[in-house]
Amino acid sequence: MSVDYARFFQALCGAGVEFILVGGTAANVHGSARLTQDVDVVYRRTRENAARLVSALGPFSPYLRGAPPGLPFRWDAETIWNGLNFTLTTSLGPVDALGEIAGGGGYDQLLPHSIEIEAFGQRMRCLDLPKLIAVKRAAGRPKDLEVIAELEALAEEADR
Amino acid sequence: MLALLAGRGSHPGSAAARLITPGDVKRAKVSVAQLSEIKSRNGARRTTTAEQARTRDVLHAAVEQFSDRFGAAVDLAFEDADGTRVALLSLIPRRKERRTAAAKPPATSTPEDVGSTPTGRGSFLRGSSLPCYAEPMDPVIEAYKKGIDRTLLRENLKLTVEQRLRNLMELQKLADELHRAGAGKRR
Repeated sequence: MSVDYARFFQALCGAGVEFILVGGTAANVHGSARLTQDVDVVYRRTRENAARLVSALGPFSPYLRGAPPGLPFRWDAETIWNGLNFTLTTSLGPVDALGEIAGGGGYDQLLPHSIEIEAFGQRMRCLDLPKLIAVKRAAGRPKDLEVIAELEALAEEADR
Repeated sequence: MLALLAGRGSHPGSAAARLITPGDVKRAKVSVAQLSEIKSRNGARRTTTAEQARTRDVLHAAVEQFSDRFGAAVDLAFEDADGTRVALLSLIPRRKERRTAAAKPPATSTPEDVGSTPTGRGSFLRGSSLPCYAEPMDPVIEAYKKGIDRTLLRENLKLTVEQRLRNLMELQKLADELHRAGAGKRR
């Protein structure tokens, strides 16, 4: 599964969604050479932003990833407000829309630790490298250990 | 260690219980067994391949990580029982000993020995003279760092954000194609 980043960012930025790029894609933004197959964003938990997120991804058939087909899943602001983290399939590729991440909190907590980036003609926020490392460390998953090593190596290279 | 794990059953929500699980013990035993196997396989040979050396480093690091977590769990669980705490912490082989004799039974050490951390990274909390291991993942991460191809990272850092993301998309497409080809072959 691949992600159409150009259209994804165009959709979110075009709808004015407040979000921060996190996870594997953020690691790639910082120079990681690892493959990630989805895009993770932390969206701001306000009702207005939930509505913007709905209108941004709505045209791309969002559905719960891994769920059997035919479930009565409705992609609307109420669903987002009543939930928190959504792992979705979309026609743009797999998308994780997260209200919070372990070790980092929500959008407002992460915002001071984000940087502005530009890609595909869009400006957006991306988690900075130190926080990305801190979040991966906080998650404490064995599979992240190698990722942390690469991110730390990237930080060392960037400081050279 | 057994007492600690037994106590874990009675107080599953405690910080000490969360730091060390039967799964951790199992994984540590596997790592020690693999280290012993590598050692016996190599026998008197002094040279090892880079891959063997890396595997050995990662296994050593995994054992160190377990020891660090064990130390931290003991520190928390026996905060008010210095005698027990010191006795249990003395079971942790120090770094050098672990590197040279990972498969041997832990050497006994004096309480003074325990005051220095196996990784050299421990911090002292609660004014205690005993260590609390603040960064238990570091030995594993450091071991992984040795295997990272930094030339690839340096090339990536020369690219713009958009170029990096375009490369990622190409990689994703390649992975898809390989996945499909593999699935077709299996049918």
